[in-house]
Amino acid sequence: MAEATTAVRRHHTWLMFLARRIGRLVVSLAVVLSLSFLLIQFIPGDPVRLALGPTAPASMVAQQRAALGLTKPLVIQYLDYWHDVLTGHLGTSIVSGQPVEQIIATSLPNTAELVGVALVLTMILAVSLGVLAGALTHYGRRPRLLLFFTSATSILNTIPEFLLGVGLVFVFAVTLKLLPVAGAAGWQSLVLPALAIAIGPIAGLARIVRVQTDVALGQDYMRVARAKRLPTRIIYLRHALPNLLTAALTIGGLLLGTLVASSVVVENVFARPGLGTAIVQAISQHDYPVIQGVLLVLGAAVLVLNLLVDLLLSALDPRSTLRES
Amino acid sequence: MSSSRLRRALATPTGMAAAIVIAAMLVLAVIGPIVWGSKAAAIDVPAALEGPSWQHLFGTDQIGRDIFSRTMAATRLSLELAVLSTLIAVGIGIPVGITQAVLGPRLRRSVAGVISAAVAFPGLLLALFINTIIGIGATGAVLGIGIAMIPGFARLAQTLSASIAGLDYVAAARTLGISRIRILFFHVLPNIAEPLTLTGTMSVGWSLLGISALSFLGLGVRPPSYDWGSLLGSGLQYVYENPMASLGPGAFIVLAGLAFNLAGETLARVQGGTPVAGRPWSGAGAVGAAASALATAPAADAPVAAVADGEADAGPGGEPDAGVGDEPDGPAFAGEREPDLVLEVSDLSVRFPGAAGIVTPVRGLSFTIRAGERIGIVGESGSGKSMTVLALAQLLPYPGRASWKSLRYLGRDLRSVPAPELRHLLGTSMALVFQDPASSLNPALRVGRQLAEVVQVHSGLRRREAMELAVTRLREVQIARPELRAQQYPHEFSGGMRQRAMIATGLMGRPQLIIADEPTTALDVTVQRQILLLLRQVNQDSGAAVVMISHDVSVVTMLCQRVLVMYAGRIVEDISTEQLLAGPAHPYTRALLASVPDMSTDRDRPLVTIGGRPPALDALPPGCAFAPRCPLADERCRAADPALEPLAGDHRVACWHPHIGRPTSA
Repeated sequence: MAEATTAVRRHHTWLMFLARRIGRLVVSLAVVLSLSFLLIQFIPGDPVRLALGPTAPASMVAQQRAALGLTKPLVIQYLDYWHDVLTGHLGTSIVSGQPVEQIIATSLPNTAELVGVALVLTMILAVSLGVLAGALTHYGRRPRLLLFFTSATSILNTIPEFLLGVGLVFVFAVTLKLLPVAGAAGWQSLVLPALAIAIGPIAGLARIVRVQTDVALGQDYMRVARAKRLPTRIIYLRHALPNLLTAALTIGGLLLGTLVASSVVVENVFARPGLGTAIVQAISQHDYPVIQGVLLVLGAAVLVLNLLVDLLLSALDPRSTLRES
Repeated sequence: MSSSRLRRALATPTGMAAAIVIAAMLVLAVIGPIVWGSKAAAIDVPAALEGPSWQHLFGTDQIGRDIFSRTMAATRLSLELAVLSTLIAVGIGIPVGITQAVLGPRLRRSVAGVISAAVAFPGLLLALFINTIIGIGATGAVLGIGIAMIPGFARLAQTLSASIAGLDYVAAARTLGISRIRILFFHVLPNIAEPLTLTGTMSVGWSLLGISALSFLGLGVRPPSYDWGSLLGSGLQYVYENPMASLGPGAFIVLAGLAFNLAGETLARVQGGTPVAGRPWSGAGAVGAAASALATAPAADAPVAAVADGEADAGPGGEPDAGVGDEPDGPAFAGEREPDLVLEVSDLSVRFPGAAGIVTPVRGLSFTIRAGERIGIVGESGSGKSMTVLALAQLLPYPGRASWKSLRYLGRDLRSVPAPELRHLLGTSMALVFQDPASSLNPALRVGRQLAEVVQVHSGLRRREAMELAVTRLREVQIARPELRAQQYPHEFSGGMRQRAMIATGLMGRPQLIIADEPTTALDVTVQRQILLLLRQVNQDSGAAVVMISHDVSVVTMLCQRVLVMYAGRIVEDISTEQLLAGPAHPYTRALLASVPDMSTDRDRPLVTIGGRPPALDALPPGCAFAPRCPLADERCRAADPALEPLAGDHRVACWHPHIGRPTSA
């Protein structure tokens, strides 16, 4: 009887948590969508004239204005935008005449692949390096290794992704001629951009994981685990790791947004056809519908990913849901 | 205060390096365009795209301009833009953040919600948004990066001012009717100015990197102007012809970004102060507070000082050296091995090498534990109780090292047991229960799993069998509904239940020795009693010997048959509980006993305390360590350390002046 009540209560707490989070996501998505709509309204002067250039005939400008719906009242435009986005239409590129959703459909997979690989790299390398450094330097052991670790990670964490990209191009593509410098063909073209995005987060996260490891290893339950004479493998993997992972995943979740943003820049360094190259090109061509569409997709992706990370965390660490409520 | 902090920051190597780089950058910003400006603009088409040479350190660009000169000349614009965008972020973010300290609760909550949503959103996307609206160019880049950094500053200012606004003097000012604006300017702002300046410094670095990124993408500074980012971007197009064209400006971006970051970090570290290293060997952290009853500062009527310089009666020189390793030859430890001995140790010492030399928290202990026996170890915090049992359990924390003349556990010399076998032996027969059940159970694992893993690892049971055994053991320690409890996490348990679960964990194997280190200290009094009863029950049912450590004599006498009293790393008395209650021989034990209040204690008089403090372990007196606090101490006590000698039967005491049969005088 009491068991059932407890289970129901736990289930209920989780549902409330889920509902609150989804509610927050919907509000944030609405804000991003509205901002994306407002982008074209905020442009000082005539956006269509800017896009088509000063030499374009006035009739063409007027035609394009009508096609973008800019002649309608603002409220109608706004409602139309909602309707279009919800039915999967993101407008038409002023420059190429291609539907924006089509541009996004071709470039999104490349970006997703890059961010995904970078995220996996970050989590695996940061956690293993951090745990290793933490275990080796626990209790003030190997102070020189610790000094090296902290200075190396703090420097790598400061160097921005586009400079790391340039550095990697110089070392691996220009000097060693090992990997391709540009494009999106095969896994080789993924290595350098993914590293360029991931090295900073790896360094930052590894530092945090090391501190977490140090804290976890000093906990009483680790002493208990050693008192049980468990094999080292189990002590680290079963007893220390889950307690580090909550912190690592929380930060890793925050890093997802950073990885998405970095991919925008790094795609341009490596001329990789993705959302980042698409938006930068669109900005320099004043191709507003494309800018709106890409910003909307990137923004929504960040928000949804953040939610997924939160849900994952609450599943892994049952206390985090309780803390929320 | 602020200038002394700056001086301290400069004294560190990183602080110095950062300061030098920043100063050099500032000088370059001033003189760069003047010295290199004309050379940077000089077009020399025939010399286009040359590699590095003495004449052109970074080579030349596609119309033959010297890239080194352009890099130098670009310093001013790069730094200017970074500072400008930081000012925008600071100028808007901080007012937004701190006004919340004086807003009403509802408004505050909604502004805070907006800020935290904005902080979670990647700044670059915001910057691109702004950049699109303002248009490509330096203005767009500065505004874009500046606005993108606003949420971060708002959040920081909000957190800082909220912590100030919660302080008493702000509350006092508010009750005095001082206006919110006045509070803001006179109380909140001055107190958060320093951390904000610090973050501002670091942010110059971040915005430099951000604007460089935009310029690099062709969305920031545009020709004919140029900054480091745009130089890097145009250099990258010719990376095969001349790598230095991109690496040169890139190096300057990294250098400047690093310098500002390091400067901020160093200042923050100096502000935080250097962390004070704690005793690495100190056992459970909370013991100190709990043991205060024993370690209280000398009360007004403390007798110690008056007696300390008492008359000498014994010749100090004539005593034999009461060395550490004398006991093993004593009768109790001689060759005959009693078959029922669980543990037998002689001359156990624990050493901790530290910066100030070696500290020895345990000094030459010898004792035995018989099968089924319940032994208590009492003493003040720092007397070496925990270190003793951790050394016996082979669990000393780094860098501690244990040494002994002989250590036999279940009849085996522990040194001769090979490592895998030792793990199995100790894992199945020795159980440890620690002070704080809240932190002893792993918060990330279900309780049943934590019990089951013991037999899965050591007895090769399968998971389901192990879980069934875990449920049985939980039931044995009187946890209701053990099937359900085994599936729960530790945070769903109460304190007493967690300690029961810890004891159940110890019962998973076939325990011969249960070591309980202050098992009741973190629990409230009624639960304490239940845990003690449970330990006795377990002892009787399983026949396992129990060693319980406590700073509390009364707790020990409730459970144990024999008590080892420790002082400054040595056993000063080894006594049965009946004798202890009747009247111990060592003055320290007598004092410990006298300081425990009972129902007959006169409540009008102050509680009895032991005057003075235990000696520091790295500055032990040459003689008896208790002599400075002992009312009976004389010259002999101060000169030579008494050995632990049998007094009568199993009763051993280390004292030159043991009380024999005389009534206790508190």
